[in-house]
Amino acid sequence: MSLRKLKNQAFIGFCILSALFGLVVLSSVLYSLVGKGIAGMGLHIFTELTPGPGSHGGLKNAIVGSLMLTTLGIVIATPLGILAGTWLSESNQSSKAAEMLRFLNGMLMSAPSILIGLFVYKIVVVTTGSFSGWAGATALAILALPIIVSTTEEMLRLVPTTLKEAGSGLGAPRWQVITKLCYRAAGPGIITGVLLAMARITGETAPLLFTALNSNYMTTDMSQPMANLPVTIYQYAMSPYESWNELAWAGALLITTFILIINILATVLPRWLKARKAAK
Amino acid sequence: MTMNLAIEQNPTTQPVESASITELSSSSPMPRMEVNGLNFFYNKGAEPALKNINMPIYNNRVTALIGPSGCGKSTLLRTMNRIYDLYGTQHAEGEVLLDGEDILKSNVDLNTLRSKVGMVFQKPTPFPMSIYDNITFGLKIQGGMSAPQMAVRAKKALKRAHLWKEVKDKLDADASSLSGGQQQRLCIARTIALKPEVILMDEPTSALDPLATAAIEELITELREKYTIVIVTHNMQQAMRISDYTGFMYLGELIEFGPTDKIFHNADNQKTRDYIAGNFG
Repeated sequence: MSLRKLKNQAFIGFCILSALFGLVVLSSVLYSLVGKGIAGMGLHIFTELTPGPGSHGGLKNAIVGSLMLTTLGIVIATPLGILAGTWLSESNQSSKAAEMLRFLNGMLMSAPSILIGLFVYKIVVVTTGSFSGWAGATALAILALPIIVSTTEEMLRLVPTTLKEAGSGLGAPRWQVITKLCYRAAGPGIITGVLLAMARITGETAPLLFTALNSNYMTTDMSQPMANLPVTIYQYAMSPYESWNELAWAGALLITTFILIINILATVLPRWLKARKAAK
Repeated sequence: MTMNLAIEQNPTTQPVESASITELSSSSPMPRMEVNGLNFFYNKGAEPALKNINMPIYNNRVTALIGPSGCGKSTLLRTMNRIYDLYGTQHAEGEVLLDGEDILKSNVDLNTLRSKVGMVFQKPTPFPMSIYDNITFGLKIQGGMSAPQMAVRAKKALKRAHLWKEVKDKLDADASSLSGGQQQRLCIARTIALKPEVILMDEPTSALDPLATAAIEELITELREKYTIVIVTHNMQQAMRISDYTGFMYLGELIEFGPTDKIFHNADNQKTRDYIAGNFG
């Protein structure tokens, strides 16, 4: 075999090995997660509250809390993120202000989530004097924001300039070109961005530790500390009680499944929207 | 005497007043638009992309702009509805008159201007919505029309663009489901629906196959009766087939302007003759 071929095969071999390594790690994590998670799964997870130490119960309040916090976080971040992304893509893109915002957005995206938690703790929790669902949702919104900003900007930039010119050429003012044409064209991509941001914040623990905290009660009052899955998993997994450990596994499985579903939606939904439009 | 000669001999004279144009005008309809001493810059302080352009656009006639790539023909077209205004760095100096009013003035309402001077682009640009919504897009923005009035106007526009028969049963279908040629006719219909005075076409058939091209050319010839058309084309045969007047541009200058027949068979300028003969470009 020639040296050239040998190098080629060696390179491909290393690529395959690296891919396998990643796959093995990931699948063993998933394997133990599913194995141990399923053992603790059951209807009680959804119907019973988080139990006291050593006793049995479910995760109902944590599930409801997590859904509320995540949804509210996304509801806050989506309009802000889309508008900021629109400004970045549609206004004078090379201006100093735009460059600055893009840079800060990049920083925010890679900022450790615990920092965001501390920031919101200082701004909201300390000011209002209590841990609360509002504070938790705010922290999650700040985490989701940069993802939505950058996907919106990227997706809007992919809209062909000819489409914008055609809209302007029919006498449409700029804001209508953006809202009626660009958003439509970039819509599926923006939806994907929002869903991915949602998947990202669903599993966040650190920012909630300092904001929503946790609670053993069933509450939908956002001004109170709120139960949520990530912090519950964190507490229960660290505890010496077997029943808590079991619940932590079940919760982890639940959250992973939820994130998986969102990720699948993020790929399938835009395609489905396009197909439905074409079929009409 | 051709226009450019007039400019060379007496640069201070507006060529519209020159003998050659008067001569043309006597046998031609009134100009709908006039370009006077137009210079165009893509960036501040950059070389002008258009240099002292002077030409009339005659009412209910097809005016073709020809010339090699990069000669400024699209740039000239894009000043006529000020679509270049979308990009902050570009600016034009001189005059572009529409019905006697200078559209380059800063107080001109661009949205009104663009509903009077419609534009069809090189690549078909269907909006991401239904066929019907594509046609009514501009009407809705203009406002002041009821739904039934809009439906009538949309049907008329589609008929005039020879698209009605093909789409009348699927007006709710997504516009991107149409073929390239149909999409381009949809874009023309969308423009006609606004009842513009002038229609600008930037190489409208260069992305289409010969059959679709023939359909569009036939359409342009018909549209001439109601509209004033300016078309940029790479295809000299096309200019010859469909236009009444032709302007030959080279390196940002309008070298020669006149009746199509004259430009193609008996041009005054050597450069024009060379280009028509295929010696360069």
